[in-house]
Amino acid sequence: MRLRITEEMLASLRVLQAKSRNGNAWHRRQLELVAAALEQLKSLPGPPVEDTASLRRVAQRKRYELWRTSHPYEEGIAVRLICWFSPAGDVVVAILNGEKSTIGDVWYESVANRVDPLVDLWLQREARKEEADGKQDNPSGEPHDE
Amino acid sequence: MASKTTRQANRMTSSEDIPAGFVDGEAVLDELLAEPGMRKAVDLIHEGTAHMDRVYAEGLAEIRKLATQTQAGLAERMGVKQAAVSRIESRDDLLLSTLAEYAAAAGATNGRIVFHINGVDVELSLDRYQRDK
Repeated sequence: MRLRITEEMLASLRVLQAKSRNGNAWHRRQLELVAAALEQLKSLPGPPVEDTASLRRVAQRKRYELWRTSHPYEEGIAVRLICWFSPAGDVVVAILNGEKSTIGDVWYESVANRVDPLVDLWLQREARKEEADGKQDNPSGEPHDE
Repeated sequence: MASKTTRQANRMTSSEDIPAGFVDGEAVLDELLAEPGMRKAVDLIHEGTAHMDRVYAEGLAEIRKLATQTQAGLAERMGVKQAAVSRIESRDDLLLSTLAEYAAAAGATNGRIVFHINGVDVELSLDRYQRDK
């Protein structure tokens, strides 16, 4: 799948990367888990059709079907990526949570409110590009025979 | 004239065409994987994840394997034929009593069904579903 990430996710990743490069082993491990999750998503042959232990639907989703990554248990560490699969074959990774203490019902309840607007944004911008491409192909705006 | 599908495919091959507010995750991933030691660490995580997914997928059979029992051995403990154990393991649906007896025959203890509701875990012991012998 084509791997895309939000600027918000990128910002979280850069913070984690900086802490890891400063020699913090805990943050380094988080970064490794993030990299593994991203690679796992990229290697998917298509949008998932059923839950697995490492990739499950977010039960608290609202308008869009969202998925969350998981990894084998590690003492004191949990990394979750929240993503959405676009109809055009992109996996859009929206947010990252690497703080085990905050991953729970309250956080999952907040996920849709944070991620749904990002999906809206993706869809709006895709639609705008479709429109722009259409104009480029047919500058006169005249209907054409298919 | 380019079809809509072709335009979409062409557009998606160029990173400059990623919608504003989003970035090319593949470039970010490549950068992460280039960090010293990262490739090896990620491969080990993938191995663990693959195992986790297998356990999730295999379900009952994994319980038996962890108990180092064969289907025939477990069948004997359950008082059924091996084929019956095979059917139980491949079923998408089964009685709670069958599940309880299968787990007990494998030597598993403290079997529970856990429901999460309103922030609280409610546990039901599987022992109550075992039929009297």
